[in-house]
Amino acid sequence: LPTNLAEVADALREGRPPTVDHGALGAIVDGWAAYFRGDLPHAGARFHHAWEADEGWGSWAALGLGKVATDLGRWGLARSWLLHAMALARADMDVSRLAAASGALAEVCCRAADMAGAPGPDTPAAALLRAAHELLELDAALLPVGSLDRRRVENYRAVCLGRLGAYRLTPGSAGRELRALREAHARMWSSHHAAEGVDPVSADYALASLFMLSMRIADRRLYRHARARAGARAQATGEPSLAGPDRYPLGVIQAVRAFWRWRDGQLPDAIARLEAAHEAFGPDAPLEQLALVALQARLRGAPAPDEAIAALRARPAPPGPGSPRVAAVDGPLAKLVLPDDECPFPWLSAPDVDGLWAGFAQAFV
Amino acid sequence: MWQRKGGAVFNLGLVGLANQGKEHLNAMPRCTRARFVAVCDSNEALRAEVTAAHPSLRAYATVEELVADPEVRGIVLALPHHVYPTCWGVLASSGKHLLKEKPLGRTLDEARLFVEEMARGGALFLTAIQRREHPSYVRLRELLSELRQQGARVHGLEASLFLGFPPGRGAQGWRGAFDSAGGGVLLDAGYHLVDLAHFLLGSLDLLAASLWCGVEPARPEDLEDAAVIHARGGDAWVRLAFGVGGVKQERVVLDTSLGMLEADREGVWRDGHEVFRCARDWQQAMADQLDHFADAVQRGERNEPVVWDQLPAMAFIERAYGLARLNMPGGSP
Repeated sequence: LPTNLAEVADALREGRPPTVDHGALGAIVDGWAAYFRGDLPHAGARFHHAWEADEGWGSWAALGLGKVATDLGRWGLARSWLLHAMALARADMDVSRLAAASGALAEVCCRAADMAGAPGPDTPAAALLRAAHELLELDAALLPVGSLDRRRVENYRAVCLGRLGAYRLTPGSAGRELRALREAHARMWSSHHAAEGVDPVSADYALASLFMLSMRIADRRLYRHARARAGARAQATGEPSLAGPDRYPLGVIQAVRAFWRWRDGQLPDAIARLEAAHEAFGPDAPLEQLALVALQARLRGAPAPDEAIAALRARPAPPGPGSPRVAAVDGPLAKLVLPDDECPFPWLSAPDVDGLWAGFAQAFV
Repeated sequence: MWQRKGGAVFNLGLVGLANQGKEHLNAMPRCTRARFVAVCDSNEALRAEVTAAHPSLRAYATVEELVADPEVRGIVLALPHHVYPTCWGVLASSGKHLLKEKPLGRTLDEARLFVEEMARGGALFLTAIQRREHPSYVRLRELLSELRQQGARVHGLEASLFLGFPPGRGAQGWRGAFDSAGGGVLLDAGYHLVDLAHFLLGSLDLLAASLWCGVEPARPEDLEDAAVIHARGGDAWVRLAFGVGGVKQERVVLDTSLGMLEADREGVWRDGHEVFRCARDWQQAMADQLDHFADAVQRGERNEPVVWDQLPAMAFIERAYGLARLNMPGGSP
């Protein structure tokens, strides 16, 4: 462990990048700091440095590399690193790391499912969503009692249920097929209420998930419910009120409000909402910001930000694990069919506004 | 008439002449120490069909008539799950030894009741779990035991059993109703893997369970058609997956500190090299099971582990149902 733990703790508390006087662990802390400010190439480099240092922090480094690859849209690479992290964590009985890696792999499955081809029973998309659900159940089961991560995992479980329900909204489906959506809705509300007093950030994410679900399934009634819950302040100022300091959920909510304004033909207001969402996401969320820029360009009839999209896609991904390791129990997860990820986030180049909205709704869990 | 290889032959009655009952009859030619002398089914057509094929068998329409047959010493039970409570009192008080098809019960409470009533009667009670008798899984367990004696530790067990039925095919007949079946694929195909995991590793601690009905998580009123369970057994991480659909397959993988063992119903492999090969079918396993039943009675056994092992397995399955259902919120707000 580093000897300057107190300094590291102070820096983290004050939001400064900490300096850790320990090779691998310092690189991992650097990696997370870079990851959370959206600098994925640097984060990947630091995590990989920690990986190569081989100082006993392998599962931590592999988890970071898996998260970086996920946010770069490199599903196959992300899975390799996360399965590796899970194998190391299982061998070390590092239950916390196993829970985190399971949840991270669930996110990969969830995000990749929408791009995995046509839906239907026994399809790759269905298999990915089921794997996501399974992994989130494992993540939740491994959390210690009272864990601060519980609300966050609850939100992911609700989002996964919502995707399972939305996935069922194929032509001709009705009634029973909407069950998962109803339950996702129930779980998001439940999570929102349960977290409000103790974990305001998770409460805000649950609310943002409700907004996002309303957009994914184009359900105006759900949107109205979510807006009403977003606070009394919204009635007075037109702006949602959130409980916590994290502005990412506000970005999601503003983007969804833009979607509904656009659906109502209120173009100037939709563009204003997109600008508000752009500001809320901030530079720490470059993919989200670029998606909003692309949407604004489409709504304004301006040229698409092709250069920026190309630059985003060209961000360097970390190398894969030299000899990928997969625990026997995780073998079936290694065989899941993932969508092609040679050109990450293909929806950014969608030729129409509908395609961009659909991509935006798919991309963010 | 089936030929015996000498020694005392244990006379059996068979209750239930549908598919599973017929499998038992088909296995008889391979038995060396047991034989069926009578059968029982309320369905007249099934009785006629079976006695036409096996004229030496006496056929009864009721369990009361069968248990009154003095030549019958042991009874094999292959009935739909929901029928057992209607005849268990007669069977348990008859003094006949019983070999019941799995599951031990539809619920843990029902399983306990069956065991307790049989214990009061004093006769032997076994459950029929063919995978425990299948040559490949018997060899897998022996191999694991040999490796453990060399100091091996088991890191993981991954097992799957998919029946390969086409999508949308629901459970048929009595298996299609929750009350009669007691559960879906977890209690049916899943029971085999849960039992096999107990057989190989001992008691399991449940971590997580996902039950599915089509593409959606199953609700309490659903008969699930797929399930995945995560558990710990000793030092091992365990994942069990089963389903009515999917690509038809069955396999068990054991990751040990001295190598990887893999088995299916055709053989056993160690680090990818075949170490055992056997016939895939069930007939030998079912015949061995009937002989094992006869041997246990002849030895005077009354407390065979195989039935007591079913209680932890039943408890595990019930906890899995409970956990999966607990994790599904009910209805919309």
